[in-house]
Amino acid sequence: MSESNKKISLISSEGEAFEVSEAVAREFEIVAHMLEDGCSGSSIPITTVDSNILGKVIEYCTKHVEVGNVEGNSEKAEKDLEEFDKRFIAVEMNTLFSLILAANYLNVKGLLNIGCQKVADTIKDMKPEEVRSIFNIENDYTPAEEEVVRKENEWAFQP
Amino acid sequence: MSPPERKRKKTKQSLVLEPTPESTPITSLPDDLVVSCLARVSRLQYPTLSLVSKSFRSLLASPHLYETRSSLGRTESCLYVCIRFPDETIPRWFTLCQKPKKKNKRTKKASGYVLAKLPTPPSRSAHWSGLVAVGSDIYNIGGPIDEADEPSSSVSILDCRSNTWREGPRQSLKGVKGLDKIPPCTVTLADFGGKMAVLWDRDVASTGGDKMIWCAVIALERRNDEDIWGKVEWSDTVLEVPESCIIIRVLAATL
Repeated sequence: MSESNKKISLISSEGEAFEVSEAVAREFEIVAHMLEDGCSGSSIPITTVDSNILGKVIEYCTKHVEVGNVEGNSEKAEKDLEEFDKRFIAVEMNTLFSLILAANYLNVKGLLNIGCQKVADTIKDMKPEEVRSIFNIENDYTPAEEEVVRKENEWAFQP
Repeated sequence: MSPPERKRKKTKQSLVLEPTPESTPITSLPDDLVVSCLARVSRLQYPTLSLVSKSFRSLLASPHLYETRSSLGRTESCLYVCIRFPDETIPRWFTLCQKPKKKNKRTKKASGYVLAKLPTPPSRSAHWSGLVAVGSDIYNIGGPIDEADEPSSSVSILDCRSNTWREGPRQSLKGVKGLDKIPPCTVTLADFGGKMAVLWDRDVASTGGDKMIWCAVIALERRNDEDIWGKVEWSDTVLEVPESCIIIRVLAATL
């Protein structure tokens, strides 16, 4: 483990404290910047992330810090991590969106990346109406307008 | 939960209670995060995705999306083909595409690649020397080849992001000395490191029998996602040749 055994408490929106090592907390770039700016307090409020999601983000970061610290056998470690990521991100849509929002806010790039990739993989073979329900958006096209868009992209809809 | 529904949902993870749709407020992503997701989807899916909603459609055509794709290393190469059919004055345009996978039909034999027809360009003609792809746009500097028509340097641009045509920056090309007056079929174009190189020849009035080859470099800039602005960086006479000379091709190599 890292030289510093300092523990940091991350406080969720519900006020729940999650105690993590400094190395894990630093995986949150937003926290790393706070620490560098001399914000040496041992508890940091993460007011926009609830306990459920914060717990998951910490799980992700902990795993990545652990694997990063293992010396040698890097190929196996990398594969292991890939497997972990795959399992970790296999969640239902609402949780996935919450993870993406949290990763974006906390600036955990790896998690943001696999989250967005998961959404992309999910929607790539979907019909427009399925995508609408996933993103919770309304169809604001009139039938005539939709026809125009279809016409513009005729090439893709040809049999 | 009603009993019959429970029977159907005999899953392994019986401990996990599925949230009912009405009890869970659906989290939605802000546009910049939606763009991050869309940038990771193949361009082949964009026509389908653009039917989702108006805002989705404008995200799919936004410069921000293409910047994201580029920064993620997710740019895709797209092949465009221009074919002249017999007895047709306007050539047809096609793009190579792959049919979206049908979920139910597992016909794996066919590769699914086809040349799909694009909208017809507004310009009446196209000549290979007047066509160039610069970035995500294809420029067609093609006025009427027909001698009877008045020569023009009308420019039409195929926006490969949306696969739609629009009229180009004719006014800026007027800034290139002489370009607005010559038959466009003698203009030769090349992608010159993201700029457009234009070469053409003109007779030299004083020295009968000779002509000058002109070259201009035009920097192209997309403004407001709609207008293309061309700024002539320089134009000059670069070579004097006998009148019968013809420019065969202009190419740029990157070293």
